[in-house]
Amino acid sequence: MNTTPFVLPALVLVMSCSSGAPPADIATAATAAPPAAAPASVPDSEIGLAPGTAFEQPEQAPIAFNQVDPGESELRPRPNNQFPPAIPHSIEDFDAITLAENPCLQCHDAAVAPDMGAPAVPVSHHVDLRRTPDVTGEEPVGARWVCTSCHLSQTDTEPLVANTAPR
Amino acid sequence: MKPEMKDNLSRRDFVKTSVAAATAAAVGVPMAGASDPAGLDSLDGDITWEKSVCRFCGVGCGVVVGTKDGHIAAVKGDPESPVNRGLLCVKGYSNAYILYGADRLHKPLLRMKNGRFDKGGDFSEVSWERAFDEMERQFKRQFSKLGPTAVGIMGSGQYTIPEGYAAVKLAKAGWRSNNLDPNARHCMASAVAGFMQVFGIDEPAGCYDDIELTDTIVTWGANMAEMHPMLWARVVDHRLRSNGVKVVNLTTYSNRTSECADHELVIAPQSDLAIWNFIAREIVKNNAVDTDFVNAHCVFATGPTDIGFGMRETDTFAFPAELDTQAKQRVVTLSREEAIAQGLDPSEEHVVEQEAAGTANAHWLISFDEFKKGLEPYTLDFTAELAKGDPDESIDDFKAKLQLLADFYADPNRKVVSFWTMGFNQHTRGTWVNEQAYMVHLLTGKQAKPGSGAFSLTGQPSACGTAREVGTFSHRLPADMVVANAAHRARSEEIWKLPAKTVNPKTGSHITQMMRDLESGALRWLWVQVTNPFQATANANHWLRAAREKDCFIVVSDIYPTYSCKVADLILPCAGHYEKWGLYGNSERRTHSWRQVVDPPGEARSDVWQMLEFSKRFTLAEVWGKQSVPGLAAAGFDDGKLPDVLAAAEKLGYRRDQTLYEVLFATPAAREFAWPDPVGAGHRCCTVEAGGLDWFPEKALFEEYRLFGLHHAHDLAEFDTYYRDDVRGLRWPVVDGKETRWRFNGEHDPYVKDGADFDFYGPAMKSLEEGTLAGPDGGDKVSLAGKAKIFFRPYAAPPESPGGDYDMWLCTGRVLEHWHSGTMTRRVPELNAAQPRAQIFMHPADAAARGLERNDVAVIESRRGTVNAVVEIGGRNRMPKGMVYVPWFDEGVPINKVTLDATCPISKQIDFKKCAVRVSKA
Repeated sequence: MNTTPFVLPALVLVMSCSSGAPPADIATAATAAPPAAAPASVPDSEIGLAPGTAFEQPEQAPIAFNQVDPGESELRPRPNNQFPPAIPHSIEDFDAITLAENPCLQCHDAAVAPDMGAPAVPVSHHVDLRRTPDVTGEEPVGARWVCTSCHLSQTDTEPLVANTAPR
Repeated sequence: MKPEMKDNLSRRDFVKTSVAAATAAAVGVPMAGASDPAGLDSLDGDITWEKSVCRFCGVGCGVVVGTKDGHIAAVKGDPESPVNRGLLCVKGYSNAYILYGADRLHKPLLRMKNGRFDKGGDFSEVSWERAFDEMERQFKRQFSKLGPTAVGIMGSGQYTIPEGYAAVKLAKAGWRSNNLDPNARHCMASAVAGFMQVFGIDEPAGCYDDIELTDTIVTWGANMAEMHPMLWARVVDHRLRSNGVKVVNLTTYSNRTSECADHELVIAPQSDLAIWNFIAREIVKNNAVDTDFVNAHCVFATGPTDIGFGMRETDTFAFPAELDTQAKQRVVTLSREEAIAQGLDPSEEHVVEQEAAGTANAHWLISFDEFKKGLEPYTLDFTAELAKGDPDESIDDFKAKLQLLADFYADPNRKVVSFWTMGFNQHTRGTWVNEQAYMVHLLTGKQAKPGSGAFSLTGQPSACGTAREVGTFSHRLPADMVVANAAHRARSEEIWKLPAKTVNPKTGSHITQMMRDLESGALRWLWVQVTNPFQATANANHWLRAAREKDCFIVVSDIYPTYSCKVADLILPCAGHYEKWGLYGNSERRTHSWRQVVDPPGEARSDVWQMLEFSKRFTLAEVWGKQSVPGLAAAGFDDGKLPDVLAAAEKLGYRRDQTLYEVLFATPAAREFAWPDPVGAGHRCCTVEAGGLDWFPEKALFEEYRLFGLHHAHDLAEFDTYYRDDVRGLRWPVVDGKETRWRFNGEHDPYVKDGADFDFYGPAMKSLEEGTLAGPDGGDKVSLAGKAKIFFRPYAAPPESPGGDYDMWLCTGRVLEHWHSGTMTRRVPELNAAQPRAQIFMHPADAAARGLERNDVAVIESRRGTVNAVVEIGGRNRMPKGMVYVPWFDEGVPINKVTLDATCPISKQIDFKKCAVRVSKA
């Protein structure tokens, strides 16, 4: 049986099923050794992120929106120490961040977060790296005001393709 | 659901406290270090960090990329970069993961049956040698019969500078083909045309420093909060510091940019043309013109209006349902609003033959009185009625906002920066509306000054640095030169050491035209590099079919199997961003650089290596003989032909059997840039390794390219300068080691001479006839040296508006989490989980009227195609009734099957923002 590095999970599952092996662990997809026999050919309907040829209409399944309230969600692991933590709860019903108000800070501002049982905005967000980089203030700086540029609420969705970066 | 709050907690009013916070910031926790305030570095002690550049948008954030054990471990913002000062948006942080999708391409893939290439076959792995063999065979099969117009390259605003320059040389100097055009045509062409028409030279006068210096930021059809997030962070930061600063968002739907704006105007599609004229009229009426500035530095101009919509001149290829839209390319019956807007009697019918479609960029001088006459119809009443985009907003509220906006521009004490991107550029009168932005800023003298200027934001990371500056377009050469200009060709031939008349003087096919050429059979061989055009180009059903059914050979070079790969014949695996050396140029003219930090996987190779390697397959004898170029008509050339330049080549010391590799790339000058090179600093170069070279192609290409711009107001520093530890890019022109922040301004631009306060020294199109709104007078041309043009342009309706069966507007665009066609970002689990699919954003009442609820599947249908998508009735985009929005990142929702390939006739850029659809329940 041939495995080729470019193969999508779909093809991997087909071959796994035919061999009786358990489904490939999607989180640790490994690069297979070069095949000894002639390489398998792949139709264009099986490459890319949407099944089918470019002339077919892929199925549209409903999106599994995050419906968990703040305080009831589990923190998700960060893929690396620099990556902004995901928002584990829904923010759909929150007011927008505007010039006058930031609803995120109502729980996450460092001054109130311990009482609210919420992770605190870290001190990195209290430093104005453009104007006063040596000074750590007590509040988030203006450049950090729009939390949602970096922090994303997550739907309940499996990866389309495994990502092999070490995490 | 809102967070629970304790009674004694007062809501923070950040606007009031921000100033206090800044001064009180002296009290606080000592930091671990200026570049690492959270002390994260102590957790990441075994990571090696190197300065680098974000892969994504035109902001061009500086990043620091961290590697460990041969992998990228993390990416963080670079506190030393003046662009973003240590901040990144979520895509910036995601740079760490974009190269690690499990289906990375490792080997070339060729469609085969029975061991031979077969367009009907499935993809099989082949060696690079076999891949180039087939590319060569297919190229020469077509080239020998049809010449340079039958082959082409679709390039990219995401090409590195060396990649783009190699492509220009290979296509224009090697194959003598001008069929090289980038996806930046879909992105910035109207902006470029606007610059060239108004200033005679490309790219913004100002820079990002304007944000912190201005009083007013106006975003026009640009959702900056999602699309230029780290610039938006600077805008919000500046705004929060002072209530005197005002932010205004003009948009066709309410979005995240509206949320942090002081004022939002929801405008009707295309009404931007009328709004600018209203503002100009107010400025003139209220004596707010900066007459000193205008008299010293500006002239007035206009051009033809019967210019069509960039659609095909023939309906041979149109689907039956498309015929009515297609017909507007030849004849337009003006709407009542158009008649008024163009100074005609609205009670009469005006059926206008579109006779100037082929000369759309023609223009002539007019007097100030003629200019004022043009503006006359754009009263507040007329403009408000045309421009109000939200049916549920009162006309009085909208009028008040229009007046407020005009007052901001007119106020002589208020500095203003106008930002725009795709709302203006992807527009069937995109060049006009770009010109109008400059019209208002020039009238008020608010241009090329710190804190004041019209600033065209660039979408892609190097549409400026590569596509535009290097000239990877069907009409261009490097440094703003064009193939149609004999002096420009001669200069290129001199730098490239080519015989005279090597370069083809006939403009080639732009990217949309190349798609049409595939369908008509004019284009037979296509190399797609660093772009996904079969997902990105409007009216895609035509091009997808052509790719599969016509006698054409399509090569796609990419890092992942993309939607374009599905219709390709050969797929080539590429080195990704941090796996190769490169330089980009961002929206503010900042050229910046990065070193290779990890190796490409498997047999993936850099695009530079691919072009160098393929160039070995061509001898001069095969490409520099006489060639047929239908339609070529230029002084010094026989009609329809390129001359044989082989004898001239021999006189220069070339041999007919030398390859393009030797003549264009591995030249004696290039080989002086030896590898190893101290600038390498211990890093590898995948191009050198794959080629077994003792010279450094990326540096050689950059240093040769640099010659074009030096002393021509496009000066770049030396390659090594950008790689210095203390440099985070430099804004050109870089003269005597100093970058230029405000061009054309005597205090800041070394090219402004003789103590002038301003000098719009751009050389192109600075000699014009005089005339009136009706047309040129046919007299002598007048020199406009040093001047900028204030254009009068009327409102014109789009070619396809809602009506009949197709009763809604469709607008397309992006979302924060995904870049372009999603090939990189959708393979990052966090980004995919945040935005798993493209949704159709609709007003709740429009959805309900069609029996649709949130998450139901809707069918979106136009005259050209159908796609399905799940419905969203809330969320980040609140649509007005009658309009839907679908982002294009999802190859499972290929919305460009539905969109219309009408373009600005001047820029040839597709209008992706406006077409008519019907939406129903699946």
